[in-house]
Amino acid sequence: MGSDGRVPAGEPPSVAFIRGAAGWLKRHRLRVLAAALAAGLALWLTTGLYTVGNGESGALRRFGRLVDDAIGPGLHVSLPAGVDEMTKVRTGEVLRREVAGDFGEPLALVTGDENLIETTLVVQYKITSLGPYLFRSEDPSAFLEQAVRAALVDAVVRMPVDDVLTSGKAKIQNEVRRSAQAMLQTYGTGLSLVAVNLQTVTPPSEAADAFHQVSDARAEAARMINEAESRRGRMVNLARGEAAGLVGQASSWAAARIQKARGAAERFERLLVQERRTPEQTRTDFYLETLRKALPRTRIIVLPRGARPRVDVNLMPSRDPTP
Amino acid sequence: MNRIRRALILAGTAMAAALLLTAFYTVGETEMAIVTRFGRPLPHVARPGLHVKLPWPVDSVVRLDARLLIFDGEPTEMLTADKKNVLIDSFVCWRIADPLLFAQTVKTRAEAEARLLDLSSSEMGAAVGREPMESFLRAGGPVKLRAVSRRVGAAVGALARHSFGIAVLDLQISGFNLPPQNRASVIERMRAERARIATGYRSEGEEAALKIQAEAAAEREKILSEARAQAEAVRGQGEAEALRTFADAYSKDPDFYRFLRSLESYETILDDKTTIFLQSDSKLLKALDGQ
Repeated sequence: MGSDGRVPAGEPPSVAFIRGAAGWLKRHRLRVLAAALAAGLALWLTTGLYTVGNGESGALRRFGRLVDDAIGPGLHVSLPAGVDEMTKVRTGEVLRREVAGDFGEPLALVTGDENLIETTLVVQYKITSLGPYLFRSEDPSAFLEQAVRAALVDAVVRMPVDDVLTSGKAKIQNEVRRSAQAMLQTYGTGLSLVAVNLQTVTPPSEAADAFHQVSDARAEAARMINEAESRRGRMVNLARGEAAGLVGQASSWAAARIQKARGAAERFERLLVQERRTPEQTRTDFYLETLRKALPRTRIIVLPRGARPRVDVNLMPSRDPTP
Repeated sequence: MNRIRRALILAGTAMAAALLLTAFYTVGETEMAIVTRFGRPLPHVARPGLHVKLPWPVDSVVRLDARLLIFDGEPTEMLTADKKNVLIDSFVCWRIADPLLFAQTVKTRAEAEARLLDLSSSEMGAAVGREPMESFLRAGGPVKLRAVSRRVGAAVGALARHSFGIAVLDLQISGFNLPPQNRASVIERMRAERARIATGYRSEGEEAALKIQAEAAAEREKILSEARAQAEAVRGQGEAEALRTFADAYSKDPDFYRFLRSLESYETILDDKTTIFLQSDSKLLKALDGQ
């Protein structure tokens, strides 16, 4: 190559270009070096410095191989692009996914007593391990969905439809969470389940009215029992009232009886006082008074002396009161 | 021709540098790689990172997915041991375990999944056919859904590993249903069952109400009879007290009492139907005469 840099005649244009470039590089050696350094620095500054935000985690790969999957928030330095590669994921938040049929329709399931039900459920989950989440499985949330569906089927085929529709919901949720979580652990998806919620659980629409009739019947039975209870209450109260009346009547009768007895006793005692004072007189007075009251009502037949009456009547008290 | 030689050297160096670069390759975190030398695979399997091989065109790299993959088949109708149709949906978690065998036999993922589908549907069909319906559906009882899928998974896994270099990590039944053609009859049965249950609730309600009614009547009778007994007792006490009061008074002069009682008796005995026969010299007549 000529040191003067002149272009010899008859050279092809490409050779001439290379020669020209070489000449230029030779003349500006220092400047080229500085420019190369500056470019390298710029590359590093733009691709070798990165920040991980709050709520995020970073995973760093060097020549494709994962070297760190738990890089916390802050400013970090790595080797420039082409050597190191950084992936940032929001790991702090709870994610949500609806599990439904293939076309977004509710999942159709069969219960343990061969009844059909339809359900939609929502799972909440979060990323607990970034490396596995990013690189270990193809699509972690697809694994999640399949695991939840398998766990759901397994829970529902053990239960009668009445439990599934009512009291068994919580049990299903717990069961699904526990068993799907175990599957996710086995697969190493880096996900963990936070909650499983059965949004809706319904019988198929063709049978919905029949299910409503059952709840109506249950409500009606409850109503019948309530009404019977309230009738019972009324009846018992009435009976108590009647009972109080009976006892009350008896006590007032007894009180009257006692009062009457006291009256009679008092009368007797007064009369007795009189009798003690003038016995003959009193007794004769009583005797005559009685006859005066009683005899006018009777028929009296006087028999001749010594004649025998056909009926013996002894009107006189055993003790002769008259002298 | 000094200049031409220089140009050739320059070009040769550039080409050599380019070839040298093909001696390095990286394997991503989700990949594994095998190197083929003139098309024949070498036994070494490269894990993620930077690696060296002989430059092109001697060695070339075949990259395979190292991740856990999921294959969700279509729901398939199967027959249980008691000849009932069921619709079973399952999924397979698998990964390439033997890249060399895999690359030789199935090569692509689509091909691998087609083989997995063949294996799993035939194994599943056989396993389901050995179990009666109640192995899968039983309220409150033990079901064998898990056991069946585990058995099928193990069988599929052994075959796939041996033939295609595929490891099956898990196989689960993700859908268990009745075929659509059975739906109408199932719904009909469900409706009939609900009607029966509704009738049951009603009659239970009636029974309970009647029972309560009967209890109420019994309770009422008990309350009233207790009250009657109490009333009798109260009356008796009154009566007794009354008699005691009489007795206390009359015991002071029983003779006078008898006299008064007799007079009272006459008063009541002697009425307008009474006839009295008196002898002409009776004391009574004398008393009336005032003698």
